[in-house]
Amino acid sequence: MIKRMVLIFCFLSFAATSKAAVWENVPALPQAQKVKQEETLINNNPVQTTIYTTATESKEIAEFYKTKLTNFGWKLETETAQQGVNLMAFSKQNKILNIMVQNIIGKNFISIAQSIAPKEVPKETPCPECQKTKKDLIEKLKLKLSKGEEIKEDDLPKDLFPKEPILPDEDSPGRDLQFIPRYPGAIRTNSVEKEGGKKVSLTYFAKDSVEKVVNFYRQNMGNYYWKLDKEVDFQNLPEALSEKINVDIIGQSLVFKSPSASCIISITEEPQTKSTIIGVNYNEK
Amino acid sequence: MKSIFFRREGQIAPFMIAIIVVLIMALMVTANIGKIGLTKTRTANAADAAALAGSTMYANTLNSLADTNTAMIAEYLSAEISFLIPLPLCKEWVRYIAFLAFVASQTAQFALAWSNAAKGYESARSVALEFSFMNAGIDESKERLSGESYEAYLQRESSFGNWMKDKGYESGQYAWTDKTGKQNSFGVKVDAPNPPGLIPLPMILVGTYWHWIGACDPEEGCEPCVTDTLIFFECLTKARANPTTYVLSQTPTTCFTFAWTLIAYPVPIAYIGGITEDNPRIAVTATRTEPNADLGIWQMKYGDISSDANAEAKGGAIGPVPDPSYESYLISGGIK
Repeated sequence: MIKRMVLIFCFLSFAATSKAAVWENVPALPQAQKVKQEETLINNNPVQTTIYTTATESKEIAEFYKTKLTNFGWKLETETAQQGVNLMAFSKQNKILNIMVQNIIGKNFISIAQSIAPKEVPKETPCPECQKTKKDLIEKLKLKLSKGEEIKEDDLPKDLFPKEPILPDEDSPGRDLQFIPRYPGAIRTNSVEKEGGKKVSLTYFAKDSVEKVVNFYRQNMGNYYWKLDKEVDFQNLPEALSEKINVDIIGQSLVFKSPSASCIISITEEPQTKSTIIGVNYNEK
Repeated sequence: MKSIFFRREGQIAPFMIAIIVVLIMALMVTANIGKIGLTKTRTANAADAAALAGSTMYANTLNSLADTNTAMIAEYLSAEISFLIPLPLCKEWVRYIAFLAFVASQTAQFALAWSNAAKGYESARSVALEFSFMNAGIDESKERLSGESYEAYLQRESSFGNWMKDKGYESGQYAWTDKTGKQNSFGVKVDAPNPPGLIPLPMILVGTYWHWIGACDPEEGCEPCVTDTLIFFECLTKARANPTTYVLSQTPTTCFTFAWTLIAYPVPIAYIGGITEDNPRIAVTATRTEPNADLGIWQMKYGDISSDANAEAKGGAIGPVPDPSYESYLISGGIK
């Protein structure tokens, strides 16, 4: 009996810790103030994020990380500066480090995320009519490679690939919340868990109209002991507010409360496909 | 006989009468000064309590907005960096959906903060009025109804009590009949600051994508590498076809172990960028109209007795990641 209990305990301990990742130490910029550090599960992948605020110039910050991280064995993969935002991506073995430096109303913020590199390779879209072209092209490109030349985008025929977006057709890794109903037929596209599941953000994609999905949540959340507290209709915001926000969103946010938590469900229309996006933000008190 | 006629014992009477008259006048003056003083104290109390209560409510509203502001910015930064965590390239539509959901959630939170700010302003005004009437010393007579037991009389709410319960104080004016059957009135004017100005800031979210490309192995004939490279270009073509997506940069893609692509979604999102109030001030004027008193010899005309008070919620303007440190202070008031 004791042996069994010990075995069960060992198994549970393993199961509980199997997702924990061992993170590399990332040097902190001197005199930077830590705003927060947290471990997040994004689609079941562990990510460590740290946010600092500092008075140091963004160029100095970038130089600091490039020098220090290279000394720590990280390789700078890419770097870009866009609209006042500096982005750097480093890699070390199977780990990736993203650093973002930006200024928000006079304060410089440094956001750092350490994650594990994804190994998934996307699938090719079936295209029976272009098989012959592709076969010839592969032979041509193989020849180019064997001569030591690089494949460039210009080497490919311009209309080789279909341009339709690839819509999600299966759930992303992660988990639903048992106490929040899922819209029938919706596909989970994103799952973010923080503070051991006390803060969860889920995103779903559904083919039905916004109205139908809104009605579903109005009717079903009560069965899970949620009470509708407030509503935000993006199309009927107060005039002064809509002038300020200037975001063209079609849909509604429903704010639910329970004695121990709050939940904002935002149901909006995706403009291109007219499908519906469901965002669930759960916050335990 | 002479001695009786010229006796001096009665000569004190005129003086006594004069002294009594002076004493009565002094008593009346004292009573009236006392009454004016009491009324002035009551109006001053009403004004001070109103200004301080209103200002405290306003400071609470600003502190709550400062908390919301910090939470929204932290959430934004955290979401922004999590979008940078690489996904396989062809998954950019999945990320786009997450972006849209995030924008909707931030917009909803901004709208709720906006509505809370407006409610906070209304509450500050309402609480100021409520506290003013509670401290105004309204001495309304409460008639005992015929057949009413003393216990029931004590338990029954006065008409002023009912008026307060029904939030009649929001009208800012109350008139009542006192125990002598005379009409009194009390009025309050509250000049509260405007609802806090919230600034939404548009931000651009950027996604990073990681694409594995098989290494070119001469023994295998480089075909896996070419196939992977074609898939990469296919995904890139689809990402570019999305009107809300544009590719910022990409690293060389030929037969490396992986390739990087940055895709930016120019999605404006709303969060509270700042609360543009600098030490908002609340001003209160309380006025009580006392009925004239008929004292037999003459009529006392009291007229309007008013007091004013100002209170401030100190804390300056709220920027990014602020400390919620608004506090309320009475900056002028009392009996003048």
